[in-house]
Amino acid sequence: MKSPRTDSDHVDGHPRHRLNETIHAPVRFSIVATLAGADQAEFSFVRDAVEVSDSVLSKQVATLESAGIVKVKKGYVGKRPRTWLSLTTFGRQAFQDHLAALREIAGS
Amino acid sequence: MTALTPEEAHDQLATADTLATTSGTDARIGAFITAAVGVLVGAVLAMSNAFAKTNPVAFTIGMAVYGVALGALILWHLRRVLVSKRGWSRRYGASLAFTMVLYGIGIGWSTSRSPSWAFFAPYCVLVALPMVLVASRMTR
Repeated sequence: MKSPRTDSDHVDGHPRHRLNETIHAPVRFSIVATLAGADQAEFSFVRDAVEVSDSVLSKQVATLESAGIVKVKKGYVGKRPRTWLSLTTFGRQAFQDHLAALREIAGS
Repeated sequence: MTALTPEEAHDQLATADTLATTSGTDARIGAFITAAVGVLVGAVLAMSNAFAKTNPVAFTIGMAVYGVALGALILWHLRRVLVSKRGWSRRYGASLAFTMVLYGIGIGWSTSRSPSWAFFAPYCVLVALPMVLVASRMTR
């Protein structure tokens, strides 16, 4: 007799269930992918790499920051304000898990 | 969660690979800064050995030049570099720590034994070496 389906069956089933909902959105995915190759990156570098406006990047970074994926550091170089973005340890692991799920889907 | 086709997943992985490639210019600047700091520390050790006991004025001027050069390098790095390649901070920090340990040993050697330049000059090069070697691998 087949046992009833449990939550863990659902989580461990199809790899799409392991995709991170926050990272999955296209712009946020691009932001996290850009930061994955860097210790930290300046706001304007990420904006140009992802090809979005300042306001769109700010909004998406705020979502990633509240999810604990991205760390935002503000400061000055001389009189010029600078905003530095980096992935948190949790964010880096979440992105690795997300990529692993994508690889599984791509390979299936 | 929207279902992804294998092709869409493959495209996203390709996008991630492309975006994770950081600026080559910034990587070269990071490598240059690392090597330059190593050379500066080696040079200041040589300068200390030459002037610390014999010529306080030259020693003070040398230390001032060192401080200004180091400050200018750090400021240039902060202004110019928009992205630090993954692992740069760790590699820079580790090589700097190694160089500073060698520098400390060199200062102790220089003050206690007044070594000959035949031994001390190569040692100053050795002090710079960890940062120069790490820098040479940073752009690869």
